Amino acid sequence: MIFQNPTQAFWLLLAETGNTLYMVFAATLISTIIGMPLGVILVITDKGGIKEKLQLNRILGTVVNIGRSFPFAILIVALIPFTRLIIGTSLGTTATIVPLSIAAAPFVARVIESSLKEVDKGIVEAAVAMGSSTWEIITKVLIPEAMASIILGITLTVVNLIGYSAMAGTVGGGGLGSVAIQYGYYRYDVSLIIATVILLIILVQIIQWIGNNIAKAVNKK
Amino acid sequence: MIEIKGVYKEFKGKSNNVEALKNINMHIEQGDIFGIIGLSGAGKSTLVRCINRLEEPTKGEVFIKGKNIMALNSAELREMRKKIGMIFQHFNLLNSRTVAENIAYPMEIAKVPKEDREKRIDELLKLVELEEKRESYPSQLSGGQKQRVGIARALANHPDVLLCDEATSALDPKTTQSILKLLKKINETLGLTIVIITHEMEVIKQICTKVAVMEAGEVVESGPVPKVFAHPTHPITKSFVQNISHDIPVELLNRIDHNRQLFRLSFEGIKTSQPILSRMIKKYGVEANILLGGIDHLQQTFIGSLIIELIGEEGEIKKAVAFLQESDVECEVISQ
Repeated sequence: MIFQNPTQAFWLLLAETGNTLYMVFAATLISTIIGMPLGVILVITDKGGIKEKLQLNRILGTVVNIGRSFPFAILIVALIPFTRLIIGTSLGTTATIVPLSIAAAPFVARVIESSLKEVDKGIVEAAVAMGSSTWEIITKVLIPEAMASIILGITLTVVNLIGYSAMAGTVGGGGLGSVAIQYGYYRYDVSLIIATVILLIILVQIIQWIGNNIAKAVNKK
Repeated sequence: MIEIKGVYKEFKGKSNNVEALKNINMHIEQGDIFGIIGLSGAGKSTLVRCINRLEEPTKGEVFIKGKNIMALNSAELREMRKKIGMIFQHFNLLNSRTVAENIAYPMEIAKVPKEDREKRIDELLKLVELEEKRESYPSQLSGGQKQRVGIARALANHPDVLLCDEATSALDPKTTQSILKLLKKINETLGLTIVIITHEMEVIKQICTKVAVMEAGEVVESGPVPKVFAHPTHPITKSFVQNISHDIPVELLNRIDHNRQLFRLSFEGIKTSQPILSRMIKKYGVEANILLGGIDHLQQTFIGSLIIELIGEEGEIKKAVAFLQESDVECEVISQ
């Protein structure tokens, strides 16, 4: 045992759970800020959309696909110079938020896109017929109507990011992933690996449960 | 009120282009309840969408209150649309908003102050008789109630015209009746011009003052409802009229021969009250057997439709038919 007593391990795990949540929620927020407009643009510029622009749609679609096809492990390394530029370091919890956000943004874009596409075309047509502007349709029709589905999509993003953040722990990021690697893997403390895995499972369960409930409350269909 | 001049609409397909509208000319007057009837694919939905430019006509002009809407830029078009109410077959309400919030939507985008919006919502809910559903969500309403909300929403900004796109097609006959009554009431009390797209003859019969019959992208017949349906000239119009009358059972068709012939008689107005048939029977050596028939009340007039079997010498039958035609009764031979 590396730790003198279970209390010490408990505090470490608690602190690193906090770090994981911090990374994941910051990355969710940033990736949603980037991904949401991309998803909206993908929908409205698509064929039959309210601002049909097929060329822009194709270019954006390709960019998003390229972003999604990058393996996360490579993305972290590739982004090191960029991360240093904006955070000052490429190590630690805060620095990990950068690759996490950039990895999740294209995913969020697709999640938002598919949610918005579920909105009945007739409802959008009615809004156009009433004289709505494009901005009004996005903010008053598309997003509110798709809200339940968007929340489920963002919950999915959070869960994915928990997985990614554990991976980031292996290359100098903070959080539960780094505990599993540093104390569990490198120092052969199996009990800590088990503890982190159990914590991650609990986290995912709680987040999914919260997401489902919010989506249910928002859904008026 | 609405003037449609030489409107064409072509949809570009992969292999060939489809002409959805061919040279449509139409004049809709203030206060009209103008019906456009046709089978699905006739182009009626495309036509009504050209009135608020949900579809852009390929060619032609549309005037609303003397203003050429084809000349409007997108900002002007949005302003114009705020004065054109529209209701839909599937209601198209916002599921995430309550009844009151749905009715508020068009006023929000027209920048009506909140206080005035609330007042107007109360007024409209009273008009469509849904006061108790103010805070309900669309998923908690029946089809008829949803359409009432649709109507209230369409009227929110005091429109000049109300476009109805198959507004009753998803409703059962009883609910259809109540929606039609409501539209009629709105037309009478507010003097609102209403354009109704439908494939149901009942709708035209119940409330329309004028009608245009469409087939394959063209208006084949139009005019005041009683006139068009009392003397339908185009086969498609005839089929709509016969639809409200009766279909002929096969057993009757099977027994036709030279001395036993079937006719469809159509007549209108005052003639429905004259004993033309009995006069014919007295005058000629034929027997008449009324098989099916009815007199329909169409707006201010009546139109009658009878299927009769004439039994007698072939020559006498011919004379009898000639007599009917002289009496302004249309006779159509029904063959097998």
